[in-house]
Amino acid sequence: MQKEPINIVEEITQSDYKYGFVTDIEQELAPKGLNEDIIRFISAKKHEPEFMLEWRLKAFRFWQQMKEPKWANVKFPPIDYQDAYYYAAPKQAANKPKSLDEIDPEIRRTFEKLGIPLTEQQRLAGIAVDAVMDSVSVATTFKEKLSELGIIFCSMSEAIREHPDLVQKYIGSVVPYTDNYFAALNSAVFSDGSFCYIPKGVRCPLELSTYFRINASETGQFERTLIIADEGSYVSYLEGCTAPIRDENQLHAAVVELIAHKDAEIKYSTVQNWYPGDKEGKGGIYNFVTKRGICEGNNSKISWTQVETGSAITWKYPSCILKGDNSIGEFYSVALTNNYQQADTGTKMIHLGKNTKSRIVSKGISAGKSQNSYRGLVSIGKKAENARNYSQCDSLLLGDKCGAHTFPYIEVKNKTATVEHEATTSKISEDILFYCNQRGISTEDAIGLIVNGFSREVLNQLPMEFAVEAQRLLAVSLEGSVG
Amino acid sequence: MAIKEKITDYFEKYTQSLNGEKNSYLFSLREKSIKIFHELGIPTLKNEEWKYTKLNFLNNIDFEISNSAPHSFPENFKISDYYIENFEGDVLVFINGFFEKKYSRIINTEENLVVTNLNEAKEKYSNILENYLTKYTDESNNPFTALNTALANDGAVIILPKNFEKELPIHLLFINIPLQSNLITNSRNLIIVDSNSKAQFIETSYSWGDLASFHNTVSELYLKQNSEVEYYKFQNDSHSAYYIGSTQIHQEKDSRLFSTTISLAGKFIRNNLNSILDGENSEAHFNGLYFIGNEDFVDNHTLVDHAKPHCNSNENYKGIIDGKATAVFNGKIMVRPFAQKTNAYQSNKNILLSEDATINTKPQLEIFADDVKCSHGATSGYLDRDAIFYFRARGIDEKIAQSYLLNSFSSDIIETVKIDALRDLIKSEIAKKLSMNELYFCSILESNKI
Repeated sequence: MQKEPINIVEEITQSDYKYGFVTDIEQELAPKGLNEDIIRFISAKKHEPEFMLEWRLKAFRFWQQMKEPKWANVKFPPIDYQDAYYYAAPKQAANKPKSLDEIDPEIRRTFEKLGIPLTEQQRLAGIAVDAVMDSVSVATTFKEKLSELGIIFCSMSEAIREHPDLVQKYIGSVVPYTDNYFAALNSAVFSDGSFCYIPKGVRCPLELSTYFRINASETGQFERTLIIADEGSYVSYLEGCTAPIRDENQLHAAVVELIAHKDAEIKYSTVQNWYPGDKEGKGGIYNFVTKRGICEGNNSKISWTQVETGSAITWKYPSCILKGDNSIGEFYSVALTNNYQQADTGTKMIHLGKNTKSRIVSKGISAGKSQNSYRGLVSIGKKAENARNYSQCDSLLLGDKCGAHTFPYIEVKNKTATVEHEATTSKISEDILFYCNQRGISTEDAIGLIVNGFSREVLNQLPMEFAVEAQRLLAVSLEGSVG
Repeated sequence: MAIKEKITDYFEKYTQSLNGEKNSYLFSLREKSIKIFHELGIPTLKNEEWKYTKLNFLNNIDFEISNSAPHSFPENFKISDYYIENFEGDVLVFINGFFEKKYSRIINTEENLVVTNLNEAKEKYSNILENYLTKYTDESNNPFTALNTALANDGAVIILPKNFEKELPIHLLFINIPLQSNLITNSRNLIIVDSNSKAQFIETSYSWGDLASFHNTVSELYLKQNSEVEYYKFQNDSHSAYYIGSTQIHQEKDSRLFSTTISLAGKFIRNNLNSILDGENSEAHFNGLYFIGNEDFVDNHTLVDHAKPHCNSNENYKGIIDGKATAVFNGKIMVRPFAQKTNAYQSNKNILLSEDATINTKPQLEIFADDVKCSHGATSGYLDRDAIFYFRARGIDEKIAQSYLLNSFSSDIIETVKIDALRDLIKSEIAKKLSMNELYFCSILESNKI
């Protein structure tokens, strides 16, 4: 039987520090700053095998030589990487709010609008409640059901201990630590994340989202997710949540790797609604994520769907490497920015195999003083005979102080490939609003209606229950952006 | 010696050869620009503006900077080869970057019309040069513009008075004749079209012989209120020709610009075409066609900067890429805050004809105002197989079918050229490329018109 996370803490506190680390520190918190000792500390705390530590150290040494990239269309004050904690195990209950009354009324109002049940509200707000018995039992039932099918679904730390062979084989195979600055940083210090392996020919019977939602612990600062779909399998995975999650970490640099073998399909959905900062643009999360999937075998498929409404800065490009012949990559995105939020997001579709297909549908909505960029790459390699791509990116502008930008890169090296790209930008016309007003729909509701219609193509791709919540989320996020 | 050091050295020597000119405004510009050039250096692929454009020829080829026109032409050089056949209008000829009056033709019909060269204008029109030169050019981030300002030998200076419609077009013809060594020439053109005036311009560059030649040209165009300009670039140069040309346009209220860039051959071509729509109700129309083969390289960078409300821009670039050629298109539409009611459209369509052809395209929108209508589209593909089959089913062989299709693909761009002599030249050159009988090709064109 796999261990419950609660036991891990006990184990850690009882273990010795193998690498001669100074011991007179608080158990759950490594000192501020980043150096090789911290990385050894993290690795030791997690009882990781030797190869993991080696890998982390290599990543760290590489990271030290790198410079923070500046090319994105976002602005933020320099980050002091030494002024942060890189290991903070389960937070102390004492620091947490005691009841919902201590939570920002704005957030509570949002919970109500989204129709989130009270127990879940408490969990999301990070309130120190005892484990909700119901959820735990449900989670356990799910877990048994999955393991019967041979599906491995556990935390990354657990996977490193229990299935080191799989982890060693696949980690860093899609996003190597040399990939970019934040991927290198993540590789060096990642705290935890999810691991998922679907064996040959198995169709995962439930949306892993459902499970995830019940079992979700606090989101870590440097998450690492690895999903492997073996031949002929199928999995649908959802991360994040429609509700605003209270979080104290400012920088989030997660890495997600997907591997789809022959005939396999992975559907990865994200709903991201982290704290975007206040109306003056103070605070908020920096969400700098590297997400990439590889269609390794023939006829495989990877589909990314994302609804991005939170974070002060979102900077990510979920990508697909279409290596297998006839493989398919899809990217559906709604990015909504309000107030002083900035988003620079898009995708990369790298066509390498024959008859590969990709489809990009990106909808950007900017309001307030926000900046919203689509940046995408479609690359057709020399051997990608008959590759096909269709991209569409539309932007909707609400207000005269926001910006919408499109940076599509198209690189074609094969004459049989067909690539299409289309983009439009416009605002909600006064005529349409007037039409709605005339029929008794308030301006705010009308905008919600139009935005939802505008994003429908993407929202339809989300798992059922999230599609409904995501719709409400869009409307809530736009509140106060009009007149 | 690396090109950067070579140029800096040359500039020092050049400075020493100057006497009285050192106190002039132009010289202070040059000094400032050479500093910028030195700071920026030659861009690498890491520079976003040069991401797909390899500039290593600058260091691989041993270039000398042109400092004089040749005393006599080589035997097999005929200047008449470079004139546009049946062309009526002014021709300004620059050889190795220096104005050649005896091969030029200047028809002056209006007293206040100025058609001259930079060296002449330096004294006569110094206050105008001071007011206009480098006013809107991208010196600060484009090393080649800075290099041009620092070292420009000569160029055309054309000033149209108010309310004047120039009937005949003006052809600016730049020919490089490298005799002893590979050559760099820097030409600088200044064109000012005053309010309610109208004019047409053609810019062409040629390179003679097997030694490499690098044209680094900068043109500045000023369109005053309600003026109208047609600006054509035709590029059909040799395998030893390297070209970087920037055109910076500034448009005032109600002005209209029609630009067409046709690139058919050249080892390395980079066109920067930037227009600032700096007055309400101004319009910019950018058209372009690149049809290249061999190992040629063509890069079109355009920027339409909507700085004022109620402006329109329309951009249409098409490409046919054959052989081992590579084409790059980077079109940027910028809508500044407060530039409301902007209409901007951009399209880039490409056909790849061979296994080794490459296209890199990046249509870009940067929008800071909300009440706008902006759209862009880009495609890349092969010739429609069904259409070819249709031809073949009717007894027309594949080669001719292909020519028909390519011809119709490019014809809407060719038709934007309003100067008959130039359009005929373009058509006949394209016919040669399609290896079609010229007469036969013309008949296709005729039948297309019906």
